Amino acid sequence: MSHFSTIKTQLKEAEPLIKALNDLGFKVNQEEKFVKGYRGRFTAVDISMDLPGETKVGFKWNNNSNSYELVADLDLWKFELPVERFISKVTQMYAYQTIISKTKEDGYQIVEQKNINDGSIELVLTKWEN
Amino acid sequence: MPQKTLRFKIHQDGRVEETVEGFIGNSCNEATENLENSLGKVTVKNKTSDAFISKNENLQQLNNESNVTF
Repeated sequence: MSHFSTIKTQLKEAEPLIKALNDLGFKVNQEEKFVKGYRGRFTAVDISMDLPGETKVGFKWNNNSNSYELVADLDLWKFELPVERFISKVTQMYAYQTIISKTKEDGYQIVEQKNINDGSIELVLTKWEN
Repeated sequence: MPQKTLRFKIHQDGRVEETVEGFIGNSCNEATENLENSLGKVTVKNKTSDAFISKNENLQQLNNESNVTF
């Protein structure tokens, strides 16, 4: 049978998340796993990075939501993209990286990839099997 | 030997629409279970028209969903 599903993407795995951040041109800095916020308070994170505009952000694993969540001091957010757009972009690229790597493991090949005007990415993958 | 096809539309906000075609029986669920688990939460799941085709029928004939009449 065949099916059609809609999936709400959550940042559940570190590897595709780091790949997504790199792909978007953000520099992951795994030496300093903390984010310094207002009045010099530090928050430990699992993945840390510097955004242009000296905005330091990170992703921290949350046991309740079972996913990575953004840690940033919004008062110190100087990056040109608003934080909501930044999260969307990362989530979209995370979904792309996850799909690419998981389907490759299963033997699928990309036959089509398109960037659509509405900002979405369309992907078609196929596999021949007995 | 059917061709298995996965189609994805990854929206700007990260929402993913997935269409799985060319599987027989329940194997399509197994095919994408792993991926769906890594991606997040499945919010909607529907069987598409060729879900109702049994093994002996011609899959190619009904591949174009928009032409299917019941």
